[in-house]
Amino acid sequence: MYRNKVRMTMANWQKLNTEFYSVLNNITDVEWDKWMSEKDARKSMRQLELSLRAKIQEEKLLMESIEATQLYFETLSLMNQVPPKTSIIVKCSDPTDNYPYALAA
Amino acid sequence: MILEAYHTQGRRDKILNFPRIATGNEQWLGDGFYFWQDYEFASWWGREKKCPKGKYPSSYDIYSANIEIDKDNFIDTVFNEEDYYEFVKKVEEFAKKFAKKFKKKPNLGEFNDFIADFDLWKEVEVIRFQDVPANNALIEVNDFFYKKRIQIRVNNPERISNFAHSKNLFCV
Repeated sequence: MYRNKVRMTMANWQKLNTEFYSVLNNITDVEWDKWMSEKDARKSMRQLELSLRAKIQEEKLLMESIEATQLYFETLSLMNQVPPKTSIIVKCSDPTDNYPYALAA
Repeated sequence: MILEAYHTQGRRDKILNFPRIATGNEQWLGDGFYFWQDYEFASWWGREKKCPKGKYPSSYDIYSANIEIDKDNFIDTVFNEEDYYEFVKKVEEFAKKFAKKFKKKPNLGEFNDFIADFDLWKEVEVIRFQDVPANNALIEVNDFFYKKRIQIRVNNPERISNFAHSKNLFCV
């Protein structure tokens, strides 16, 4: 449960504060009103943009997953490839156990 | 750095390939992808909010995911003291200005809209925050709410990877 031990330095508050106060301390009455009247429309646009970006990331992860699966099966296939009509003899260290001695190709 | 977290959703027709976006003015830190840091709270959220009595869905799913963080894109109001106090100060200073202008306290959505609409903190893509559990079922000492109920909000989908179905749990 307590696996997420992420310790790191703080965010860059010097930069974040500069941005924040440059807007908050200089915003005019007209700008407040404009913001208030437009914010719902902006919010809808942001949500749409976020949905699209999410879809792109979802597709990207799916593609990576498909590629990884393909690579896995290709590797497996290569590992299983043996020359035709040959046998691989697997000698067990203890001949009294029940493991098969040979795997035919 | 990678943070492993959990996403809870009611049972749907198919297993999700990616977390659902949470939108609306009730989201603590605005629109985005919300995760629980601890599995027990992901499960609790499913029982509390995804199990409407007598209604579909009758089960809920917990997904796991990796969230990529670095110091420039991450505000940690839970474990980093400076991040916490700086964040609190920004919320309160915004609230004062807003109240002075509009003669009322802002709501949660208005704070988040302000940050987003003025393109502030664009590099901040992950925020870790907490609320008070106030839930005796998840603690070992009654009325002693010593556990942080930690959530993580991600607003850049590219920070999310390895999203995978973890468990389907039936509502009881």
